[in-house]
Amino acid sequence: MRQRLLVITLSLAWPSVAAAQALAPKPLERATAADLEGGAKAYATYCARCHGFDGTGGMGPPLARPRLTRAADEAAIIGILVDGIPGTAMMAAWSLSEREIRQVAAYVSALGRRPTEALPGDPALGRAVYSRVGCASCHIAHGEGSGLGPELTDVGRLRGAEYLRESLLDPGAARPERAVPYEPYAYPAYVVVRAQPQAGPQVTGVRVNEDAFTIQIRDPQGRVHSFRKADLQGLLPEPGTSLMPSYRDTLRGDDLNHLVAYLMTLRVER
Amino acid sequence: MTASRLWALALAALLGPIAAAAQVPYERLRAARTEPGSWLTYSGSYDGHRFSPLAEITPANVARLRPAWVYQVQEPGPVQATPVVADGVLYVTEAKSRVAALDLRTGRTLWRYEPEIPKDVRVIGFGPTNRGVALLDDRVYVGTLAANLVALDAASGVVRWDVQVADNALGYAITTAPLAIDGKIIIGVSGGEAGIRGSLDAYDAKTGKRAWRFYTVPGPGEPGHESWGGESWKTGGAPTWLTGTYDPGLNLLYVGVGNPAPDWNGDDRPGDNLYSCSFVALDATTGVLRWHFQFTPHDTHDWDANQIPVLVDAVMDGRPRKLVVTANRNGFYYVLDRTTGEYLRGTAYAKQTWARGLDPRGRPVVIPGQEPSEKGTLVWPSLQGATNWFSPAFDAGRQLFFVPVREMGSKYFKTEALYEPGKPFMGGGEVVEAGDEVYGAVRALDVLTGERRWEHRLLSPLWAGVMATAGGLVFGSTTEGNVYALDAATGRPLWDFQTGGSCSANPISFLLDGRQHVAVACGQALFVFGLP
Repeated sequence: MRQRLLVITLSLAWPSVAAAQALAPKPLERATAADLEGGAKAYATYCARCHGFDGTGGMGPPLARPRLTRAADEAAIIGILVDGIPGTAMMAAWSLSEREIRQVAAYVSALGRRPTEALPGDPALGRAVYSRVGCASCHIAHGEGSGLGPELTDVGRLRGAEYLRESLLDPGAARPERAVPYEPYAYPAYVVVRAQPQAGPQVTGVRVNEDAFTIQIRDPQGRVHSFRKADLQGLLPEPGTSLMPSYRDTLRGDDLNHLVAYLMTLRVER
Repeated sequence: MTASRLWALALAALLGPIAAAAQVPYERLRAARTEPGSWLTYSGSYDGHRFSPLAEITPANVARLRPAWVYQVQEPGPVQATPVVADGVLYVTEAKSRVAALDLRTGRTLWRYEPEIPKDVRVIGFGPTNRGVALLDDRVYVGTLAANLVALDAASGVVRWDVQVADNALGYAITTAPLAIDGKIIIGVSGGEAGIRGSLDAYDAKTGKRAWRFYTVPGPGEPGHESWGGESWKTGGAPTWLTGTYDPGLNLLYVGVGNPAPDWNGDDRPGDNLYSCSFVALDATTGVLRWHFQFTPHDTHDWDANQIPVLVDAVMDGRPRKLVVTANRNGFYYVLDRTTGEYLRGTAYAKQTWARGLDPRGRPVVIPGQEPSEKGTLVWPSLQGATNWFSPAFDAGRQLFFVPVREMGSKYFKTEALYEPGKPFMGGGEVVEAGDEVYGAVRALDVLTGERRWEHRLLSPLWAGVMATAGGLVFGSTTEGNVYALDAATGRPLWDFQTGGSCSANPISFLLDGRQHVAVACGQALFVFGLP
């Protein structure tokens, strides 16, 4: 009887912890090639229909990203596989085994992982370049700067060195994205548009948002202009251009390498 | 008799029809067009027109339309349901097969029904959505994710009966709104990505006893069985996951049938795979197949024919004809004779790169090499099709068919597919094309020729249906959350409202206090609009 009482007491005290431990397996410590292959197979069967065959998205959001909107790390991916995301089409993956869940999480995390690149520059010198050329006048990194352009706090993780180098030399070639909670899940962001109202001056700036009937534009002074499209004489997107100037002639010698090396150190560690 | 019982009787006598439950006999459903103040069935009438005869809201005044009330769902999740309206009550469904009965005047809840859906319910290839209820007599009918059909008391939401339609453990589920006809409830199943054997059932509305079952994949000895190589018919898919239409005069039901399984790998199912990707016309009394027409033989792109079969009476080539028309997911628009299933005309209504056209019998002339492959094959339309389950609308006065379009292509991939009961059985997937060529649109087609009369472009490929009205308007909504009204004559936008949530449902119209209103779900809420 005493033993039985003890069991009851314990089960009353521990139910949630025990349940959580039983439900959410830990991430694989080191995913082997066989694990990734197993993950790929389960992904193709269970995930690809909505998230795209290669993780680039479709009816569901893209997963081939270094940072996922809803999952900071592999443990969080496992959490979503186990519980689903209430209020969305993402159901709990009840029919995956614990091993498959860990393998899928490893595979999904690997989908967005960037290969390591050689960084010839010196991050410390790059930091000085960052201040000198005035990156902070348009970008925020770790809370400092101005928010006209994309935030750079985690840019080292989100973008590779090659992308950053190209963006500094030819900003119009960069393809920043803005996440939206519906198909297509990512819209091109910071697209330059020129809007001509029926009366008043032309507004040039970056598109902040748009639907079928309206558009919101932020001008270089940071003011937001909201227009009904029907009220505009003209609305011209200028793809391939950017409000950011090219630094091709500004960054001399090794400065470009230093700056890229510094930007690559910008990441939120988890 | 006790005093309280006496009181109840006295009260009932006093309140009379006001407190009476919805009484929607079959005769009302059949004559739904003559009762424009209600919206009694999924498509508004048996013919699937999604057309409201109400004309108070017009191109001249629609700009003044504004919200009357908003209902926010209690079960988290996007609302894809078409509400139905009868006798002052609006019935709408939410995710996980929840039903809410709302006071039409205020949106306040009268009752809710929340079936128990197990955590490990098999929902394979789609979300836990529900698209609506059917009304018949004093009952409300709903299909559940667990593949049950439930009859509820319309006054209280209390269960009258609850029957299993199919085995959810094998991947069968129900998201479609049932169709009520004379004494019977017609219900289809989802599961095309789980290797089910598709079927359509009729149940006795009073008792829940099954009246008939039609298998969309013919068994041994049945005509069409030879269109499935080997044992592939057993796991052939061909689900019936969208509400059909009904011609009471011919006593025929028209239902769209979904993809063959596995979706993108057709190697183990040689043949046309009847009746996948087809319309079937069934005798409503017996469930016996009268005719079929297959839009995409041996489909490998997941182009379900789960669209609304729209029934049209028109003079064609000098001769009055009973027609059924559809804009199919495969990018073609079709005109068929609905008595015989004869193909009369067809033409592409959206970009398609897989067929040279349709032959004289309506069979696609397929361009070789468009099947999914290991390296990916770029084809238009995408997996989700040039249109999908969301409804088109038909304006008989203008002879215009309005279709919400998805202009998008995909790279289609093929992998091995191994059938395991109750697990995904698909054999590949897609990578969608991005870029400037991808957009949404509403197109007005000449109903007899499919020729485009106008187009209104929208930002993203659509997930929401349209409704036409006698006021000369076409209502719809967008992925970005706009509800809008277009001039039915020209496609010119006349009104729009940002709801703040992505829209993936069909609009309806009805009278509230004698005034025309329009309702549509967006995000996790239902919006009702009226003139001030």
